[in-house]
Formats: sequence, structure tokens, C-alpha cells
Amino acid sequence: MGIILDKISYKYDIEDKELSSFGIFDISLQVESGKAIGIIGHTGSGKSTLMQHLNALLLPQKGQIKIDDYIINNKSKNLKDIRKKVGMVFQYPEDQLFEETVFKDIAFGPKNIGLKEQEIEAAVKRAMADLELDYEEYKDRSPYELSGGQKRKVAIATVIAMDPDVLVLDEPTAGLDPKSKKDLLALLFKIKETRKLTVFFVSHNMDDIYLFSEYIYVMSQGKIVMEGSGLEVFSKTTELRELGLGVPFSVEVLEDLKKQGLYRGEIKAIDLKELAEVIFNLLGDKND
Amino acid sequence: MIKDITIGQYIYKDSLVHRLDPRTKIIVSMLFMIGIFFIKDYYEYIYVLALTAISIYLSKIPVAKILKGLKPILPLIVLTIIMNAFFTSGEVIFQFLFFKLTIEGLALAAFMSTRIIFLIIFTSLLTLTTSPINLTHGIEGLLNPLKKLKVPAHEIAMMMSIALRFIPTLIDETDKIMKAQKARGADFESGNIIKKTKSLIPVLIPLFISAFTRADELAMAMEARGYRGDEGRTRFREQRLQLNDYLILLFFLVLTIFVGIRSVVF
Ligand SMILES: Nc1ncnc2c1ncn2[C@@H]1O[C@H](COP(=O)(O)OP(=O)(O)OP(=O)(O)O)[C@@H](O)[C@H]1O
Ligand SMILES: [Mg+2]
Repeated sequence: MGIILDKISYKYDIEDKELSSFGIFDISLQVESGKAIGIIGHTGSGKSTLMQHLNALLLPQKGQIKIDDYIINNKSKNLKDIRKKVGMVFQYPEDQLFEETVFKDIAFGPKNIGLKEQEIEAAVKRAMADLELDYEEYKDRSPYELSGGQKRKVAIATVIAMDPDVLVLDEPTAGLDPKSKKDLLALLFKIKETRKLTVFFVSHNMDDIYLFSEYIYVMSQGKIVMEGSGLEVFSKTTELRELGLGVPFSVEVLEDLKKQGLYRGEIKAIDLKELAEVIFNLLGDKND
Repeated sequence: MIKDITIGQYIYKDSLVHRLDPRTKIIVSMLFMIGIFFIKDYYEYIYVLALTAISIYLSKIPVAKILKGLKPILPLIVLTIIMNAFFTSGEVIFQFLFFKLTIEGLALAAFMSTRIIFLIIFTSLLTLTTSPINLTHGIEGLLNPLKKLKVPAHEIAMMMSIALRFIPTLIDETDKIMKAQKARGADFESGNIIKKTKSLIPVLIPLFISAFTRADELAMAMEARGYRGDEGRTRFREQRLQLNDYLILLFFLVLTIFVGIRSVVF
């Protein structure tokens, strides 16, 4: 079980030759269920385009996608099942809220996939609990009078409430303050664990990507140009910089220390605790 | 899909047609519209076809792009064909109740639909090769003489340019919200017309809200930059007709007068 993309291509503008260079080309990848996959790439590299294929919002013009037993290709019909299976959180998902109350908005998805009254209520309650939104406090409020961060949580709950197996997060924290960002990500990956989801995580923040993904794909001009674990990908600092991408904070610090001749070890992504240790040891060497 | 709408869509290319003064292009489009009504015989469309083909070639706009723009008006063409084919008197080929298909009707249907198709193709060249800003500058320029009659030329042009400017934005926004609601299991395709209309509510509400927010922000940004209407406003680029403009205007003017006189005299 898992997700297999077999040579999929999608061009936005087929008629105009000059513009048809936009899209994704010949992408193949294979992901096991339950994994957290990070997707990085420069602006316009095709990350969102690729992600929209995972729940058939865009159908591949060539190639096919296999998600467990479902097959998506350019002739796919009956897309509701796949939309239920793959939940999709867009950039700025709060723009899609439209109901009078938070409850009704979250219930929209479950209703669409044909759940019964009581099932809907249970699904909404569970999704709100997952996102740490108090049911009694929020259910009758208008989504429009909430703060930005709360709106974002409601919008994500609308997707979670459909009980997907795969969750696509396309820059889920864009535009939030640093603390809300950190809290929301922690929450999302907690949900991934409790609900045993496969997660695709698109972000421009390399630290978040390093911290949360088990495997990373790097995109450039509609193609996958690099892949590997966080450790592998973020050790290729020159290549990443050539692609216009950054590196995690720890890699930057280690590089700096090396340039100044203080650090002689290998440059690789490590978490902040390990980084502190490295620096602590360097200080120790000096004091000797 | 919603993306197929080409009205108001500008495609940047470096071409002779793009470089023409917008006023020239607007006048030429109008002359074309007038001229095509003087055409009497089917074979004369060969000249129209040649003129249109040369214009498209010079504009460097892909033909497929232009043909795609015909899609939204397909219902109009079909309606024209039906109306003309069945409601023209003449030699009856086939009759059903009081609908009579006539030879004259068929000929007229072909004639009229060709006229509409050429009209749309040629005028869509105007919006495809002229950026919205230039288009409204052109309209303002042409309306300017009417300012003396208290016609609010500047305000009209500004309203149009804002509306045109936001068409692509609104289309993008609609596309994005529709996708988001589809991802939540919304179904815009199946069901009867009432169900289909109802299914648009989750798209329309967020769309209106964002449009109002945008309008508010735009008004604020304009005021913050000192916009206070037409008075004392100068242009970054003053419009001035070039040699090309004069030649093309002259050509179309002569052509229109010629077909006009010919259709009256003969
Ligand atoms: N609806 C569309 N119509 C035409 N071209 C598009 C459309 N959406 C995206 N593109 C083009 O396709 C390319 C890939 O876009 P995509 O949105 O997938 O990039 P991205 O990697 O998600 O970028 P970002 O990091 O800015 O979100 C871009 O060059 C973009 O201009
Ligand atoms: Mg994107």
C-alpha cells in the first residue's frame, strides 16, 4: 500500500508553445503509507501543481497515479472517493470558509461525502478536538469573526473532518506569526501520528522541512532534481543554493564555523540540541 | 473550464500590432465592425479572411488561442444558425410543425454566423494585443473631446481599467476557491439546474468577500498615493500616433468607405 506516481506530466498552456514550459514533467515517485514527505523548491517550481494531482484536482495529461487501489489518469471519473481519501490543505485555506457557523463549515465536507447526521456531528467534534478548538465555544460562531490563526485552524479542520488517509499540506503556515506557526505544525504532525496519515508537506522553511519530514523531494522547473533523507539532501549545500534554496539554520551555523576555521567536522543538518553540543565542545577546545 | 475565457485577456508579444496606439486599434475595430455589415456576397468573405489572417499573423498571437476564445460564444452562434435557418421564408426542404427549414434560410444562417465569427475574432485581437491599461487610456483619449459636454471620461476610463484589471484576478480566485471546495467533496457538475446553482454558493460567498476586501484595499491604496481624480493628473507615457498608426487608420478608413459606397451604389 502507498502512493505511486508513474511518469506524470501536466502542462498549463498546451496551445502556446512559449508558455507550455510551465507545469510538471515526467515525475515518478513512490511513497509508503504513513510517511511524512517534504517537498521543497523555488517559487514556481511546480510544487502546488504536483500536489493538486494527488487528489485529482488536476488530472495528469500523461502517466498515472496509484493511491492504494485507486488509479488516477487523464480519463478518471468518480473523483469523490479520491477526494475523500486525500485531504488537501491549500495555501491560505481560510479563503474557502463560507458558512454562517464554524460547525456548518466543518460539516460541509463530511456532508458532501454522504455521512449521516450523527456521523457528521461526531466527525466535526473529533476534527475540532484534533485542532484544539473547543467545540462548545466555537461551534456557533461565525468563521469570519475569528482571528487569522483560528480561521486557519477551522479551515484545516474542514479537511481533517473528512477523515482522509493522505493529507497534503501546501504551505499550511504561510502568513502566521512565528509562535502560531510552530504550534500549528506541532499540532498537524501530532494529528498525523494519531490518525496514521501519510503527509505531503510543502514549505519554504528548511528547518520545518528538516524537522518534520522523513524523506524529501526537491523540485526545480517542474522536475524532481534531488531526493533523499533530510540528512542527505541538506548536506548538498552548493546544489541547493544553485537552485535558489536555503539550508537549515544548523547547516548555516556549521558552515560559518568552518569558514572561520573553528569547526573541522562534517557539514550536515542536525537539530538545535546537537548544534548546541557542537558549539559547547568548540568552546571547550578553546579553553584548554 | 473557467480558465478558457479569453475576453479581457492580454498576451504579451513583441509585434507590430502590439505597438500600435490603442486608439488606432479601437478605431480600426470599429471600422471593421461597420465594414463587415456592408458585405453582401459570401465570396467576399475571402477578403475579410485574408485581412483577419494577416492581422493575426502580424500580432504573433497563436491561432489556437484565438479559436479558443470562440468557445464561450458558441451558444450565440448556434442560436443564430437555428433562428436564420428555420425562420426565413423560401423553398422548404423539411418541415416540422411550423418550423420550416429553407434553402434561403440555410444560406443566411451560414452568412450570419460567419459574420459573427469574424467579428469576434477580429475584436478579440484588440483585447489580446492591448494591455488593459492601454485600452482604457485609448478609450479615455477617444472620449476626451466629450469632456466639454460634461461626460466623465476619466471616471469611466478608470472604472473600466479597474474592472478589466480585476477580471483575471477574479478568475484565478474563482478557480482557486472552486478547487478548494472540490477538495472538500463539493460537486459542481452533476444534478439539475437548481442543484447546480445551489452548489455555487460555497464559491460565490468567499468570492464576494474577497472582492469587497480587495476593493476596500485598492481604494485605500489609491488615496494613500494621492489619487484625486482627473484634475492635474499627468501621464508617464503620453500617447502620440506614429506613422504606422496613420497608415493603418488611413487604410481601414479608405477600405470601409469603399465597401460602404459600393454597397450603396451597386
Ligand atoms: N492556473 C495556472 N495557469 C497557468 N500557469 C500556472 C497556473 N498555476 C501555476 N502556473 C505556472 O506553473 C508553474 C508552477 O506553479 P506552482 O504553483 O506549481 O509553483 P509552486 O512551486 O507551488 O510555487 P510557490 O512556491 O510560489 O507556491 C509556475 O511557473 C506558474 O506560473
Ligand atoms: Mg505553491
